[in-house]
Amino acid sequence: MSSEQGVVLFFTIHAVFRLQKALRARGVDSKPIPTPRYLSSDCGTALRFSWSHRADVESEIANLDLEIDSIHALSE
Amino acid sequence: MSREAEPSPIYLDHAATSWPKPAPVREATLRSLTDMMANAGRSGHGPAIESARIVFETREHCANLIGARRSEDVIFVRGCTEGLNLVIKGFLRPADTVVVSPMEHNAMMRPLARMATQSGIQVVTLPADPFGRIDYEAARKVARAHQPPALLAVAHASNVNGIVQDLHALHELFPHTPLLVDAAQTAGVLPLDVERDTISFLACSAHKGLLGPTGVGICYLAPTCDVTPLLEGGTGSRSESFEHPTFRPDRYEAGTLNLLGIAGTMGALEFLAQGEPQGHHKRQLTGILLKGLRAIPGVHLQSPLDGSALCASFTIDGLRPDEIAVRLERSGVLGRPGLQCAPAAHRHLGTFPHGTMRLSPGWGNTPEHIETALRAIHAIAQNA
Repeated sequence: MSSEQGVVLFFTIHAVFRLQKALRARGVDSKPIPTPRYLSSDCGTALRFSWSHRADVESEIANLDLEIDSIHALSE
Repeated sequence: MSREAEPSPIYLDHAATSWPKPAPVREATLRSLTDMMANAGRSGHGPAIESARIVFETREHCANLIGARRSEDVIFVRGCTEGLNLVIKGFLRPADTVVVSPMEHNAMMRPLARMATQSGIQVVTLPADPFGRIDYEAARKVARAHQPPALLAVAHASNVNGIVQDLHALHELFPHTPLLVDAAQTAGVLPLDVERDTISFLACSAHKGLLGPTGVGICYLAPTCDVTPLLEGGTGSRSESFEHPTFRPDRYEAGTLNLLGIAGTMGALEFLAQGEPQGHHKRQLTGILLKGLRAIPGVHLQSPLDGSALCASFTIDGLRPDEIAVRLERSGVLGRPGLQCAPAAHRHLGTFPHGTMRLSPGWGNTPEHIETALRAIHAIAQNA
């Protein structure tokens, strides 16, 4: 299993928790973190997840009709 | 020197605010003061994220309570008054027509009056029975005589005499008009479902039927309705821009939220989730009160006796409501005299300008409290 991490950037922290709650219901771990500065100048919060769950994450974003900024693989 | 402990007052003023607050409210509020509670969603560190999580969970609970499908459509405000102001000032356009019941609180009537003066909106009052319940047959004629209004704005229950309006019938009367519900007296008391009842906007406070702290309210804005915010400012999002966010809930929540109050509200919602809405209890105690009041010579009721009222309003021959209140307090019974911030309702009931004495039972009250209050009122009426 890959240890590579991914991160979802949002416009509002409300969406961070909505996605985390939905992922938890699917058994997928995720964690809110400060938005990495090299990805965005915004002062918000992002959601980190295992890149191996990228399909789950994208599926839940679509299910919830969440407006997100972007999804990135995190550099080491 | 020994001194006997004074008995606790019998608090029958739940329509103004609930008291006492349940233990989970006190505990959650205290935790928010003693534990580290950083600014929700602002800094990205652990405590800020955990604060934001409390806000999120409370918002989700509120959405469940009122049947909202998306929790981002539930906005935290300072109270019901701010929620009503947000909708009235942010949704109405110049020369719009608004239809109201005759029982509206000043939280509804004052922003409407300002909009009438500043923007030329028209306010039409629906016909109603002597207790203020909308007369749907007569109202049908009003509906036919007007173009569909821009907004229906109605108190779900009157804070003066506790009557409850039929939201379903109201929607049938004006099926194409957005409905704004002032749920100050019914949130946590009667079942609410914005989807089922086709409610476009709903406002309530946390401190009344929800049993939470003061300073917090919620305002539901249907996702299809465009409302201009009352405030712009920092939201912790889109910080690079001077333009205020357009996404919910940030669009309507500029500035730091009342985290202390929201934490206490969370405690209240968890407490309420363990039981039934309080409507049955309130109606039961109000029914005992009204039946007892009816039997006292010189007392006149302004609330219906059919078991539907959520509080009791009355007058006593020869006494002003404030005089009744002072004498009741001497007997250890607390209520609210006067106009209860709803002069429109008192004009309809014929009790303007002196108003009525209102007793509003709630959580923590018992039938024994009501019997004690009735004995006190009987003595007051005898000596009027």
